[in-house]
Amino acid sequence: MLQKQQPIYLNLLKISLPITGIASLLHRLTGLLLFIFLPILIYGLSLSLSGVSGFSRCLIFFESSYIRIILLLLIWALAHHFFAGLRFLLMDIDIGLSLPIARFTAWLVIIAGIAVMLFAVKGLLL
Amino acid sequence: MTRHASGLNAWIIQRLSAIYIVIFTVVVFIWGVQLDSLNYQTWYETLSLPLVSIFLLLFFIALFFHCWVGIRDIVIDYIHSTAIRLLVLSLLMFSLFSMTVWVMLILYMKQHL
Repeated sequence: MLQKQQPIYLNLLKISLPITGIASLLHRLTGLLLFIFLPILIYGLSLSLSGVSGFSRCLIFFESSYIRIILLLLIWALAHHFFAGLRFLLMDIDIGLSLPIARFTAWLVIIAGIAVMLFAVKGLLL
Repeated sequence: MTRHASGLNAWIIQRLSAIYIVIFTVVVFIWGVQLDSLNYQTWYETLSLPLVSIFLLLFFIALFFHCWVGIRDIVIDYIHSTAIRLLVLSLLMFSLFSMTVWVMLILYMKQHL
C-alpha cells in the first residue's frame, strides 16, 4: 500500500470546530457512548421479563439519583444521535447541503438533543 | 478490498439500519407516551406477542449492524496499528454476535442470565 506522508491532525482538544463539525463529532461520541451501555440495557430487558420481582427491581434501580443522572446522559446521547442522524440522512438525499442551511440544522440538532433531555428531566422530577 | 468490505456496502447498511431504527424508535415512543401505567403482566404479554418480538429482534439486528459500521469507522480513523485494529474489530464482532444470541435467548427462551 502506498503510504504518502500526508498531514494528519486529530487532536480534538486543539482543533477549533465549526458548529457543523461539533454536531458531527457529538454524533460519533454519542454513538460510542450508546454502544458502551448496550449490554446494560439488554440486561435490564432480561431482568424486566424474568418475573414480577425482576420487573420491580428494574423500576427500583431507576429511582436512584446516580442512575437517573446516567439515564439522562443516555437520553441526551440517544436524542442527539437520533436527530444528528436524521440530519445526515436528509443530506444524503441532498437536503440541507448549502452552508447556511447546514449550519442552521446543526444548531437545530444540538438544541433538540438538549431539549429532549430537559423534557426527560421534567418527566423524572414529577 | 473484497466486495463485502467496500465502503458503499457499509454506507448502505448504515443508512438502511438507521431508517429501520428511526421508524421503530418513533413507534415505541408513541406507544410509551400513550401508556398510563405499566405492570409486569402487560409488559410480558406485549413482548410475547409474535409481531412485537419479531420486530424487536429485527430492531436489535439492525442496531448491531448499525453499531458495526459506526464503531468500525471510529476504529479505522483512530487506530492505525493493524494488529490492534484487528483485535478491536474482532472483539467488536464477538460482542455483537454475543448480544444477538443473548437477545434471542431473552425474547424466545425467556431466559434471564
